[in-house]
Amino acid sequence: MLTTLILVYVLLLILDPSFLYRSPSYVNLEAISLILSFMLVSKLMDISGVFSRVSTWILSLRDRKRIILLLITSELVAALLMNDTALFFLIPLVVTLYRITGDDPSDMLVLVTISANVGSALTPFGNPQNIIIWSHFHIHAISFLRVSFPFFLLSSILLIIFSLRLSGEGEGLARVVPIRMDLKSAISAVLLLAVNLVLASYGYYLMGVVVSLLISLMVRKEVIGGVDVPLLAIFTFLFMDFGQLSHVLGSMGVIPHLDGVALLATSALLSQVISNVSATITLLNHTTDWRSLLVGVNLGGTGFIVGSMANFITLRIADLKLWKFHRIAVPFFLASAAVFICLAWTGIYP
Amino acid sequence: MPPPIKGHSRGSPPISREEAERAIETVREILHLLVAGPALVRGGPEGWHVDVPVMYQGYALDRIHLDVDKMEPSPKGRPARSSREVDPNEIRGKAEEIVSELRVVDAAEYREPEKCWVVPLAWGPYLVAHVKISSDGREVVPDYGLTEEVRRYVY
Repeated sequence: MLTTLILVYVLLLILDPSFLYRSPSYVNLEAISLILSFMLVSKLMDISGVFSRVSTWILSLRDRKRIILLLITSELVAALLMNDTALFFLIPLVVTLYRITGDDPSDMLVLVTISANVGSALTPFGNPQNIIIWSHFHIHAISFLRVSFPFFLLSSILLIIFSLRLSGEGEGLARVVPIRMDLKSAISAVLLLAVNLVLASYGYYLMGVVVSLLISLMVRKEVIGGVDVPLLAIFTFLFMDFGQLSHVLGSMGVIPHLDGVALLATSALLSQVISNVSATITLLNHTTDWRSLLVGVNLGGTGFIVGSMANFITLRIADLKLWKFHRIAVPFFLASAAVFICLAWTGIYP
Repeated sequence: MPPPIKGHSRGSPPISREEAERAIETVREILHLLVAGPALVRGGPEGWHVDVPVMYQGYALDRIHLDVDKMEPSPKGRPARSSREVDPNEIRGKAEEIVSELRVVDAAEYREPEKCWVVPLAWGPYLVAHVKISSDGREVVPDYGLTEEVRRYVY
């Protein structure tokens, strides 16, 4: 993906040489700093093994209780850890369970992926598009939650309706040997999360990075090695490439100033074509209505595979067939789009 | 006064034979749940080097060196090199097969700095990987550095 983005950068440079001097100004350093800080918090929590322990316990449950709890856990873990980290350990757990029971895990894998996307929409740091919107518009965390919570709640209800088609029968895992738990890392991650939220709310983004790096170094230095530098480079190039595209299309009048239902629908549909992070960057400077943008791009995370980068994790780890993913994800997107567009149309939400 | 022996720590908890046996039993218990992660392929002046990560619940435990020319594991400590580049998807099936053929060796070493037991895994006549188990013999200790490396391959 990074190679493609670099090629697009070069192509844009050929078309407009002045892009070379302008491109650094497109990079939202506040958002990149926040992504790095929350990446460190997320790794620290992941390394603590706490969520892995909870998920292992859920897999030992029987019947429908297991399905519902697994989806709720996936949502909550994604809200706190970012959706990709949640999927990296939840998907193998689901695969393990179904491997033992001998059932096809495809439907459950897709629902867990959707639940991670839905859950990550709840918090300002749950996914990259939320971090970008949160930092760009300098939104207070409470104001953010006032908009994200109804989206989370309605999508969760829809998700549970979709999960009814799954068979709730079957035994849970008798005993799964757990991953070693490290409470020191878990407590440090929670404290670091709180510190980062406070620092971000006062605009001290770089200080958040420094504090996160120092604490991680003191608690578990492996966390520093776990920082995904290529992923940070991907976000940097996404800002530059789509920032330039947004600038060019805006000056040509292709992207007008958008708000309300038009922005919600446009951002959701654009996410289906270029992914929700790219759609966020493209539309960011063409609106002041962050509420509709937030709902639209999070809505667009499900549906087609390109909607969110997290979707690819499920596909690659579980070796899931594309049509099996779309069989559930596209109807879910259409159903949730219908609900939220109707609400926006009538002026009820957001 | 003679110099102290490196590695000795007065604060180390006592270890017992039962814990070592429990650690071996724990590895035996998880053996059927181990899977092969995406092959890690690296090129260098000496040729192409392929490692197959051994995964448990999404976390990497260790890597198995794969001899691509013979399509079999290489012993631990002796990474094999090949003159041809390999597509990770090409060896996915073989990697799964190798992991399913692993067996637990009935012995464990103790690593004091990490406070864990290390139980070897064998394939044919070779020791090919290790699994780390907590000092009480009940929990799996993943290799987080390797886990992150594997996760980067997924993007």
